[in-house]
Amino acid sequence: MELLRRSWAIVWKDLLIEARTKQAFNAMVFFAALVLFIFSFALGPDTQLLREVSGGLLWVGIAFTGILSLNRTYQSEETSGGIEGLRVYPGDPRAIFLGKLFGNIIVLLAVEAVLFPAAAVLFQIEMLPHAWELAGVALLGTIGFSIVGTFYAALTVNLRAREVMLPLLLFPALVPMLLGAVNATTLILVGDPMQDSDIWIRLLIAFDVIFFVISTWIFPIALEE
Amino acid sequence: MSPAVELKDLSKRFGWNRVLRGIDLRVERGTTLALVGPNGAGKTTLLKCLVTLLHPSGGSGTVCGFDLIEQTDEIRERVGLLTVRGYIYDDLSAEENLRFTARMCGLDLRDEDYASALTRVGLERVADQRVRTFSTGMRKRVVLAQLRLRPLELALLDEPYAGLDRQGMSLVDEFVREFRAAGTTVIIASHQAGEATRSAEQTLVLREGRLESMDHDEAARSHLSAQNIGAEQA
Repeated sequence: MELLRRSWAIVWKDLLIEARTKQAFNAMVFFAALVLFIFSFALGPDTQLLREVSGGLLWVGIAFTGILSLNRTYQSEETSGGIEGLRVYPGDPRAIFLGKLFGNIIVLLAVEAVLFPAAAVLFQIEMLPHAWELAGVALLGTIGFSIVGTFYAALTVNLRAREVMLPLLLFPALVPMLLGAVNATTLILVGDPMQDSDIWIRLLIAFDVIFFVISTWIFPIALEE
Repeated sequence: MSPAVELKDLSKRFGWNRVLRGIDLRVERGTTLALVGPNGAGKTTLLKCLVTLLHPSGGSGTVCGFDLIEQTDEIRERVGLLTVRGYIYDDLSAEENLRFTARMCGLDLRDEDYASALTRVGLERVADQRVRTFSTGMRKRVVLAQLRLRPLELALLDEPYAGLDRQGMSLVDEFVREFRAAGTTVIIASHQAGEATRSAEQTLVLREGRLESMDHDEAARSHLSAQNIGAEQA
């Protein structure tokens, strides 16, 4: 319980600072919109093709945009003396991981709330009839992305080339999650009479559970100097 | 009763750079120690080892009776650290910073507690303003208020006088006296020897990572400045 209270304190602090500065959110929304625009211009007006690749395009946009959020995860602590400002408090250091993780999930979901409708307009695809299924996949994918990303962001926070190192380390680890999310999203959007998306959703759930357990378990070691 | 700090042959290196070399130190409970030395002598590194933010590369020690390597959580519960910049957030107000600290320490405080903590450091009128707009002295006052939110067995003050005017320095001295009255052990690390020794009972000099004893009265009289400690070292 104490762990969750302390995690929530970090979420509260990070979201309050983000609400005031809007540094990450504004940049992420503009960047995501730009990615979608570029893809829609590059692929042209072929609606059938756009529908077939829309799942992949959406998750490329989410992954690239998410990197911006992850890079800021611990950098936002720099004005207050870096991550040691959080380590100096007593209690389980996993509260730092959980707090940063919940914060990343909330910010990324807020960006996706803009990104999905924008993609529906740009790629001329009907998302409303599949809103619940898409929301489920988006949630599972975002949780998986944020778990691995928050962990690797802690590993790279003290590196000089962290902006380069984070995506280099992160994307290979995200392959199963991206496969699951892209295939499930595409199947939902193009039609899935055989319920093939179920297997990809199960993959997403397994990925989230496994990486949550591993990351939470070894985070205190990653946090050491 | 175990001493507040007991270190045996403690060392710390960053790569090839040996910052602390064979530190032997014993600080009795309830005392105030001034740790003086030029910039780069290893004062901050030593304090960070004491609050378990850094792991020693060699040697052993206890803080408040707990092992420096094995019982880090117990130590962090009892030790407070004031750094030069302070662990505070520019885009939160003074009061919000205190609330965050209290939540992270698991304290259940009332609104009046935050108000009185800020009044104590003379920031009651700017409690709702973002720390970004504060001067160095005002920031330090927020950090002092932060440090006083919970009872401490050991208070580590790193350059507490840096950037403060006369009034601010008096406030720090007053806080040190209050800590002492409450039985808290205080270690003041500073390159401003004259200021640090004023509130202390014992003085030690840290030079190139090694501790040297120093006659406290002499240190207090000499009012060594950063320059003359550095010159003495050269």
